Amino acid sequence: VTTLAVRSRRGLSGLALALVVAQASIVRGASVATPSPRAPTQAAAPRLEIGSVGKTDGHVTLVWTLADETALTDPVFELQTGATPTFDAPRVAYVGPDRASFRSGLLEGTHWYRLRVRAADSPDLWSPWSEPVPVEIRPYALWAAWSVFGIGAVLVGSILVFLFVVSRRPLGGERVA
Amino acid sequence: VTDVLLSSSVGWSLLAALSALWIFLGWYWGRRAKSLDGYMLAGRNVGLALGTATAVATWITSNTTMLAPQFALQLGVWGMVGYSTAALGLLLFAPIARRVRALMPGGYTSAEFIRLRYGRRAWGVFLVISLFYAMTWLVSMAMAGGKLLEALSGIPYAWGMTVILTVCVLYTLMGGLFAVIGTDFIQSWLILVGLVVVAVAVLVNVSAETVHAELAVRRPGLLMVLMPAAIMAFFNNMLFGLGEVFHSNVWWSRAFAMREGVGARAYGLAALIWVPVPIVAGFLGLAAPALDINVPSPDMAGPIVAGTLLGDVGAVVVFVLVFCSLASSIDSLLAATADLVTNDVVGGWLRPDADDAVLRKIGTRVVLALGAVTWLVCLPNVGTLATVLFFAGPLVGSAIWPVLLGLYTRRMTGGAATLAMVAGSATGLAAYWGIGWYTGAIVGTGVSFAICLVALRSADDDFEWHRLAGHRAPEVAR
Repeated sequence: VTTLAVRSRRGLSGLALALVVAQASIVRGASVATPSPRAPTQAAAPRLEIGSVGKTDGHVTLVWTLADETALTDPVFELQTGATPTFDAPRVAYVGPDRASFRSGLLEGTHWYRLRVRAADSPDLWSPWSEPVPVEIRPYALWAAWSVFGIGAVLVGSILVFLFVVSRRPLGGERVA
Repeated sequence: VTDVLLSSSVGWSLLAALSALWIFLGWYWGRRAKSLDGYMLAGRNVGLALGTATAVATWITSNTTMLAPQFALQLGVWGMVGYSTAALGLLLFAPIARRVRALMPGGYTSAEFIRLRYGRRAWGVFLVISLFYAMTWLVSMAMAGGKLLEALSGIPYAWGMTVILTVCVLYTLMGGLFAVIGTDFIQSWLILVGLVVVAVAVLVNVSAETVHAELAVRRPGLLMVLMPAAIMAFFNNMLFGLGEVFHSNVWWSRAFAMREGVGARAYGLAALIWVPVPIVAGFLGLAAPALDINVPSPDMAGPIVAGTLLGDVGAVVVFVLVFCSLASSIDSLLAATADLVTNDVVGGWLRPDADDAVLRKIGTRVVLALGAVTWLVCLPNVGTLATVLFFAGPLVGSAIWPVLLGLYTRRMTGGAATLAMVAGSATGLAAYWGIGWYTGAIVGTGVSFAICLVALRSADDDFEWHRLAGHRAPEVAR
């Protein structure tokens, strides 16, 4: 069984990596969730924020924290996305213990996200949803993209043609050895 | 619950074993590096197998294995395919390698070519570009080493970075290019085998059809043929790759080091071997959404997917792969940059009277100094991989045409080459900051190209090729 858990505040770009692989051939810490000693209570809504956004590239990194980090020992988060702030037709983007999520391939428009949390041993005791977070994606116009592409194609094409032509010339008198 | 792919004790053990192996091999192969030619250019006698392997291993950097999945996850199929076109740099350098070897049989560095071909002013500008690029690449590799080892095994950043840098400095110091090329040969095999293992694991778990179907639902933008950001980045990345290879002494020193007749074939073969590497690595990024694997930071997509699919074995494979990718690039950069400083800054400027024995000694001190400077820059852990990488794009792009025209035409002048590099770099950097990173190399190359074209039409220079034989190759071209 392999379990993956990624947390924020570590790893590259100021974000966090935490990875759990529960197999026995290499000794390391086991990933057995220990039950919370407290009676299960509903947690407060977590805080959801935009870590970074590629407005023209169609991606966003969402990061989140608990309202009270001591309230839950093994939090499980659910990240939802929708096309409207009322989440009329929501989709689950992620469920798990991670503290960040990189969402890419977003089409033009405004994408809404919200988050809730529960204890790992309380499957039905979800917190209220966080404040919805809008992510606006506005890609460059296609004419601008193709213009840059065209200029690049001409430059690379020039190099290819130049090298093709000059490489066919014999070295002849240019050889110095 | 642990935080990382491997326990730190396993990480330290792997790090110790790999470090001991590379240092031993560096010492073993480096015993022949007595003379300056031996130390800097492996005796100018590198054959096809070693030549191909060193080109492949050096071009597979941690950027290839880490940024290719990131590009695929950010820019979709375009990003994955676009990254693989960096192989074009190696492919197009094949005829250049043959030309360089023929024109400068006693040459040492790319900057030496610029000095002999264009004069000291162009040489100064080129040296600034080359050293900036080399140090940027070196620093980004060493930083990536520290960060990746920490992310994979919990080894603290400062320790991981210090160990990997120290190991590379030690074996480069002991064996020069002999050690670099020898270790590159083994590292290239380990990297390629590791990638095949990861690729098989991915395809066993999820088919290409499933990945496509899942992406169409979950990340439709990644399958868009008309994704503006990816379209814009496509040729910019390609020009950046061409600029890197055409100007960098990492590739020129290998061209000088290979036996006559080997360079063109070695670089061509290396390009063919390299092409699928970013595709395989990039597929990891695309597979993440299909496998329902959450990626919190895009630059860690590759290790996370590999570790999730392969468990313990995957963790070890990724660790070895990352270490080899980093070491094979850091050692090459140390050696090639030390050659630039030793041959051009010291031998060509500060101490032009120094003989080969003196320069051989200075070369080892330069490797040590480069390692120390890199370590000091990396220690504060500032900056991200992609930012550091693309900042150099406009600079190296502006050097493409001055290098090409200097190698193949007699008419190109030093003044025009200098202007092309300065104006290309300045405008490319302005575009990088003002418009976006995906225009930096395009603008830098374009402006430089335009200046070169105008200069060629009006220039009446008639360069004599035998002047390229250089001051330390008196036996040729007199």
